[in-house]
Amino acid sequence: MGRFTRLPLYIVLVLWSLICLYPLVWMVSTSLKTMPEVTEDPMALIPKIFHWGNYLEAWTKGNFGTYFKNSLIITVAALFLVLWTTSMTAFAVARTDFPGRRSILYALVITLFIPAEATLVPVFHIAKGLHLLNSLAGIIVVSVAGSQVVSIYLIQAYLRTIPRDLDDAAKIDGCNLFQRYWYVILPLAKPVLATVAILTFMGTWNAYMLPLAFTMARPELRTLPVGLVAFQSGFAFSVNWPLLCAGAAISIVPVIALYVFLQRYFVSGIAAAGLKG
Amino acid sequence: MADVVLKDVTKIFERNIIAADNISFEVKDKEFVVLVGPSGCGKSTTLRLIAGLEELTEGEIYIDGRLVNDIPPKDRDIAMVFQNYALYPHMTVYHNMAFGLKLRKYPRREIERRVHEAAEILGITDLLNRKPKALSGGEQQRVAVGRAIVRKPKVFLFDEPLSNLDAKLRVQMRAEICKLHSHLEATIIYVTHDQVEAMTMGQRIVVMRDGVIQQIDTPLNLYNRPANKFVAGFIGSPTMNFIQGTLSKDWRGGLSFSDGVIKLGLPRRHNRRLQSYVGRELILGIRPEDILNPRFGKSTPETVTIWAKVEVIEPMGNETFLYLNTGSTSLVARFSTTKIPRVGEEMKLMVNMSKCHFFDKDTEIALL
Ligand SMILES: Nc1ncnc2c1ncn2[C@@H]1O[C@H](COP(=O)(O)OP(=O)(O)OP(=O)(O)O)[C@@H](O)[C@H]1O
Ligand SMILES: [Mg+2]
Repeated sequence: MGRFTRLPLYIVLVLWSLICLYPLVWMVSTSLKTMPEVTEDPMALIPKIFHWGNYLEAWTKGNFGTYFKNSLIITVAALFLVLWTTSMTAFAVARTDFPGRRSILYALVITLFIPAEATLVPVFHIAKGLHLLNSLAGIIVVSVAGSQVVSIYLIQAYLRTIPRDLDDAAKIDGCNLFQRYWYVILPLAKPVLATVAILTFMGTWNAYMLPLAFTMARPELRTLPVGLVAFQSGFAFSVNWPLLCAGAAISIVPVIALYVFLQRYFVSGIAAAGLKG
Repeated sequence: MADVVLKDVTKIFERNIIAADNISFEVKDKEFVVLVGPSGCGKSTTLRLIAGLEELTEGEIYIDGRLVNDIPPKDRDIAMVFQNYALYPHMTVYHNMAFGLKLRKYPRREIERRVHEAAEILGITDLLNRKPKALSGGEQQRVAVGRAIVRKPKVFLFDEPLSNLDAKLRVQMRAEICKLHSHLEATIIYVTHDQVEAMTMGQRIVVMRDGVIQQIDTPLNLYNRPANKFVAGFIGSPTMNFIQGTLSKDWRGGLSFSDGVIKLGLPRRHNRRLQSYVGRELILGIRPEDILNPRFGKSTPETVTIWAKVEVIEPMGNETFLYLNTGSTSLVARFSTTKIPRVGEEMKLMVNMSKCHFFDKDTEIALL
């Protein structure tokens, strides 16, 4: 296509980006205003004065610092545990030939058809029995379990595309089972691991129901999404919009950072999730 | 270096696919043995059994006198070169070659020395820092060989290592692998489906078909004394001419073979062997170079004259292939490039019966 035939396409894309960016810009703008300024002209995109202090206030008084720390701990731990456990399971299912590996995969995949909302109550009860309620560890364990099946499925599907001869070459070169996983297959699985990392990160970072249910009795364990909603409903009549928006802005910083670093995997990750997840 | 012995080796895959059926052969120390056969005959399976990548269904495999049935590939002291090279895409050439040594915990100095030595031999020193993706097919092939030789294993296994190369490079690498063999004084088992590769490289050749060994012999013996019709047809290009017909005895006691149109008298010395086939159907085999152009040939007591029509002429440069029809059967002849008849011409041919082969019509076993 020539430059000019593409022009309409570019115009549409630019307009669409503006539409998508607008709420974000508005949020950042509001986070820098004062409360009277918000009530005066809520739609103004440029604040009169940039009140950076709002962020400090949100971080400390609004407790978003605590929420951020909780979210980060949960997400990083879940990310690490999911990548570690599911890559191993996928390796076993896709690259070894122990009997029953297919049945195991099928059994796992069937559970994908049960919506997470349907299992929340039983999970809650089980967690209660295991004394996992009201702890970050509990949220981590349940989040990990929740992401495992999709991740295993995605990774094993990818691993199947790696030529068998590489395993054979590795066996002859002297690899034992773990070395074959660690030195040969895992490095080759980087693209799908990035995909799984993105999906797990987004899922855990943005999760609401699970951390809400698991932190009822201990507000100091709330994650950012839970904290944001609590903050909003905490002041029934006069929501402190600037602080709320500052909290929301804080919560999307890691997402943007992740996007910048793993940009090239983002699209494939979303596509994979759409196709296979 | 070491010898390899296979004793009654059988491999049956799921769904009862018999890929190797009672295979027995012996590769001597420092020998270059080629496994050859058409696609699906079980060559790769046999090689993978020796490597330990497949489990035996039955039989025994010995490497250097040691029973290796239950020994994993890494402890068999073998190296293997795969058809698609199987280089680790995420490692540089250097690390591809060093990987096996690292896993075996060689000191770093020693690893460096060996990798550079092998790279030197193969002329890939300049490529050591590249990833496999940045190499041509021929270069990848060398790296794959390099990865095998750095370990100095007892036995080298090659599975069609040249089949992904273009024709010219293939000929060149063929010679290089042979050179490598004498340089390393290694025991090599080499799989190919290409009979030219087999003939030019192997000290001995194992011909396989449908999981069964057809014949084990030196290249020249396979060519001159094929054990059955399959081997006769598989080795040599253009392939041997086969004519089905009957054997009869004339009033002087001489044997002659006829397919109804052409009649070929046999040398007397075959009488005893073929006596019992008189009056029965069998298959005559004659190689293209044993059908002679009478414009050069001097007739001898063992040549017979027949007539055929020239249907196609294929000039190869140094020689010419003629596709002929006798009226009852098609023949291929290999002529020199001069004094070639024209297409459509009826011509006289001389068949050198001293070089003919006979096969039983049912068992296809060679009769001479
Ligand atoms: N893992 C397997 N499972 C089932 N059948 C197999 C397996 N590997 C090979 N076979 C079968 O065993 C037979 C021999 O295969 P093999 O790969 O040894 O042939 P080959 O002689 O190497 O052929 P090619 O020249 O095409 O490489 C074939 O019929 C093949 O389909
Ligand atoms: Mg093969």
